[in-house]
Amino acid sequence: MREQAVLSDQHQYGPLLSMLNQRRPLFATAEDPVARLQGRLLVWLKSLGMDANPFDAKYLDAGSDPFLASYLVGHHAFQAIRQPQPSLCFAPVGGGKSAFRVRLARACRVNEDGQQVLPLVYTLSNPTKLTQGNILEQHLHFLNQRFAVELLFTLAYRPDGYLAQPVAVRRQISAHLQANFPGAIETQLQQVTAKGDLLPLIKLADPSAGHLIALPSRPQLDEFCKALQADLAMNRALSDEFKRLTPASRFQRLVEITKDELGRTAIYILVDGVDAYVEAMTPQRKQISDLLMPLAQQTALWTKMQVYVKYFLPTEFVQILKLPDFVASGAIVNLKLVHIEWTPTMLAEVLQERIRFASHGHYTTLDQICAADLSQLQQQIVAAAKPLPREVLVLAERVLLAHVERTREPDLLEQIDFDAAKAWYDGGGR
Amino acid sequence: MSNSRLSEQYANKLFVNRIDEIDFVRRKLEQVLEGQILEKRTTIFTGEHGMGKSWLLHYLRESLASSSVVTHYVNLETYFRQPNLAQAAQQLCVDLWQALFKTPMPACSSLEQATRLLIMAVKEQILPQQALVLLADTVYEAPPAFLSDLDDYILSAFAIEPKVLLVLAGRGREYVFRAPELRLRADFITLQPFNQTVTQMQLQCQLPGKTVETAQVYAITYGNPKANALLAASDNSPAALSSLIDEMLAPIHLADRLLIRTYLEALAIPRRFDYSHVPHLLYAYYNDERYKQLPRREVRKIFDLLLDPGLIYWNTTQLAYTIHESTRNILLQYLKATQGEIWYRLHVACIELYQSWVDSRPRNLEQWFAELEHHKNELRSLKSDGIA
Repeated sequence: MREQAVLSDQHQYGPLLSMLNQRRPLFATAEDPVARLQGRLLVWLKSLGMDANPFDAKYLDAGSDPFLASYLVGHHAFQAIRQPQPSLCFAPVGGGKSAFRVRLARACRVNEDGQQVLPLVYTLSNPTKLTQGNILEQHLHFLNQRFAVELLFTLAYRPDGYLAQPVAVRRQISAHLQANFPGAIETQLQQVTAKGDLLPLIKLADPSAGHLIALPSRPQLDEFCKALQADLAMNRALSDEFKRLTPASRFQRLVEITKDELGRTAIYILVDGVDAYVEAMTPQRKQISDLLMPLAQQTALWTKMQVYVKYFLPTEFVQILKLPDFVASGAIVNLKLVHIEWTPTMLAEVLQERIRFASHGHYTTLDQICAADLSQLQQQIVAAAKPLPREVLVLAERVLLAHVERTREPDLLEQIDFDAAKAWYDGGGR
Repeated sequence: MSNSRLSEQYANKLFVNRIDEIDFVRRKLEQVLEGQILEKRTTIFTGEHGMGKSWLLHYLRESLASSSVVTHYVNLETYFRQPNLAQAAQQLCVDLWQALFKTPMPACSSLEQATRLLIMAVKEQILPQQALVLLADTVYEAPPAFLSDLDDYILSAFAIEPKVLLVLAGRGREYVFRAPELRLRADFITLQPFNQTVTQMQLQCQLPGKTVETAQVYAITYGNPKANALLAASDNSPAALSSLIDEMLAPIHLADRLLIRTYLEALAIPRRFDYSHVPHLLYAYYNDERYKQLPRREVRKIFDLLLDPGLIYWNTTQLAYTIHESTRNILLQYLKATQGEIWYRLHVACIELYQSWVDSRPRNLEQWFAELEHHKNELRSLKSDGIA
């Protein structure tokens, strides 16, 4: 149960954090003026042909956004982090790290460009869980859990990959899954069977992993779940045997199975969610160094195993981590260092893609819902906000809210709406 | 030359120009054949009706095929016009299999299964030795439900394969692909009208033996290839202009065509427009005061009607909606030549509108003055043409 709680925390953290940042009540009621305003905003947007708020604050944490893949923007730095080598990807809080991580995880899951890589999304949002005792062992414990969850997700996504395996291999796979899965794996399979789709596993593995290519049909999922359940029942003894292994041995076995039996050429560990240390736990920032160093020390060993850790870290940590020490500690010889930076054009694109998605292509720019005397609103937003995706999204949503707040019958955005939103933003409303 | 005859003749020998676009795809193919992993393997051609998108795809299919390249052209219209849209994408898989492997596809119970089977076979039987160029036409014309299936299954499954090039063409409102492999890893190219020299080449090639005043044709069509051919083959009379407009609206469902033509005629007068122009222009067009009170939701419906088939678009330079230049110019020529009174009223309405904006919207004064001047000049030209 404790282990499941950790996973659950990871998924809840993003939205809650965003709401805290907005200084909004955690649980809005009908009387809440913010909720009322949001309601009016949605009605207006619907009249414009949008079925959602394109800048919804509840998805400011990219990792919790189930639609993120649909409005990601291209970034030249992406190719750099895709390569099979360890990498450190830095950006300020709200600077698009999680979006990069989401994009990379998807590229791995759909085998983009024919690459066969298994992604392990490792979200370190709960520091207190990893501060005492042998930190590496604890990392490995949680990584093994993530491994099992991702493997189950991968197998369910491509059931043939499991069903076509020889009995002996299925025995090994099912026993490893059972030994490392956080909680009862059968419960997950029951949920998948009941729902008839991958949603329960997506929620568990990575909420942003929706919209993969050619999702399996219900009969295929049923067949897979039945087969795996039968294998699990038959291999409990083997699973118990695996449970007695050390976390490091279990990790190694999982890597071997993934490569040798499932044909993956590499495993990427995507370390994300560390913004929490900057955003909410300032006094504990230094913990991050102690926390990440044991992972860094594995780099040389893991690189030999084609396991590459990709860190998505806030820029503030460049100093805290003491980068040269960090690199040296792991004998990292082929490190890719990436700093994500955003030009005004790219930030305008962040807004555009969300508008296009929310309006199903009706609108490609905010200018299309502006009165004639307000032009180049996107450029104005980008110029007024800090040069980070999250910041422009916050200001853009505020412009929409300012319009709804000002008008009885919202229609087209006017300069006065932008001016009000900018005053709010400049005044520290953010 | 009738439209139906023209549409039948996607013959390579009659194809002119589009050298840059052809080279663009050809270069990609060469890189794929060299074993490079291209960042963008999908190319999406857009452009107004008559710009030659289908012809370009047909040309590419024939010219790119070789012993190391398999090409296949598919017109999606064949599928999305089927009564059972839910089965259409799966039928596409079945037909692709048949076309690529010359054998019937094994029975599949779902689109997902059909997609996987097809991709697996392509990976095993074609891609080890050859590259595949899949050309899909009338993409944006397809209903969203059908495109959603292609997005989630067939197209995205092909898009991730390093030895497959996707070349798509479509007109109208852009479908927003959810799959990043189709959205982020695609080049979007809008086919532009021909210049006068290429127009001349086109007419010499497609209308051999006919004496054509290219400059006259070009002054009306602004180089839209279909309009070039149709106008050059006509007698250039006002009636021919009207027919030409109908031909440019040919893809529109007959039931909507008359209404849409009316809206287009009204909106052709301003150089750029937004929602606020519509009530004034329709009032002037119909000479009916009631249109001045046209509710915004009705205006939006009109915009949807025009945006969906790609008759108007958001012009990122002008930061407003515009009609494609070729179509707009044909409409203007027609209105001035045959509907003088309406043409006059529409210009007057624009002058009144911009004059009111000079007073009420001081932010963009320079722009409103420029538009005012344009419409006044148009009316002055009427006088200089000797028209009362």
